[in-house]
Amino acid sequence: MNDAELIRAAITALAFRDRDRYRAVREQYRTYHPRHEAEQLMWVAKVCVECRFPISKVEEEPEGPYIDHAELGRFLAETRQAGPDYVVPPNVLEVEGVVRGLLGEEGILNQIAPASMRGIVLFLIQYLVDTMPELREDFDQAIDEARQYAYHQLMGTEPEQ
Amino acid sequence: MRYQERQALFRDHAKAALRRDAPELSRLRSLIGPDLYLHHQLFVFALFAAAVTDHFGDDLDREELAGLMAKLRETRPGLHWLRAEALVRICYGESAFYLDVPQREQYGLMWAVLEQLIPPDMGDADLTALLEEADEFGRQTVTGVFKSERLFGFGDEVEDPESREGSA
Repeated sequence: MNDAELIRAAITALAFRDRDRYRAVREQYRTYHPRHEAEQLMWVAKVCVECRFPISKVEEEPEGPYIDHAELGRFLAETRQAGPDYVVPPNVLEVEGVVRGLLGEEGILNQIAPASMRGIVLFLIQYLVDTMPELREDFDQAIDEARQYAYHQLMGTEPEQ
Repeated sequence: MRYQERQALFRDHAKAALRRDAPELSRLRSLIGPDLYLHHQLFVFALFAAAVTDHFGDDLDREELAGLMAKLRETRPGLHWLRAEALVRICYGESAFYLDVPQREQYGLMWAVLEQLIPPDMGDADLTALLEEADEFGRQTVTGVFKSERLFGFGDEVEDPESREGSA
């Protein structure tokens, strides 16, 4: 597997909570792979969050992105109830912060303790993949979109919506 | 310390804080020892809730809240503003966030928000009215949870209710 295939396999295993597969892929990691994995997980989480919270057709407001607070409240209530199948992040306020940050609110991701980030991102991906059929059925597509985001960020260009 | 002394101390401390009277504030603060932390935390939360609901009214406008947080970020760059935002939203029914804001930080966050909401030159009558509202909020909250009004003094005083009324 080349780098891209390796990270894709790892993220897919994480998203579908396939521990054995993840362990097997992880064994092939080289020193720089964990960082690639962490970066790409963030972008995949963004794609997943945008699937649950579609960027509204409403024009973006000057101060920042439009966020559906009622829907976000419902999502956090689900998070608190998410059963033993998930490792639910202990601080739900931080989950909200990450969701808002991934939806484009500026200056909020720095409010999240770095040690909490991975757990929150994994929870978001796993929970949303389980509950959103369009993500579950074509997760490769979600990874492709995430890679587009990463590419555009690197190049300083705007992704096509 | 008895209820009335305690209440007077907390009120004087709050007034000094809201007037940004630093020397008086540090003098009064030194009188609030660890044995009063629980009472004081409840008092400050009541004051916070009174000021927040005074400012935002019956319904919290999220854009207005975002504006307040933007001001807070500008004047207090290192502050954990997301937690301050959560404390405001707790006053509007999102009480589940209460457990997500570390207790140790709540005090400082509440004062930071109070400083944004209350101008330093607020008149004495307005300050007193605000503290009355806080008192009422605290009373309602406590009686909404506990059965006995005696719990107000946490049972540490034996006095007739008349004199308590008189001091309000």
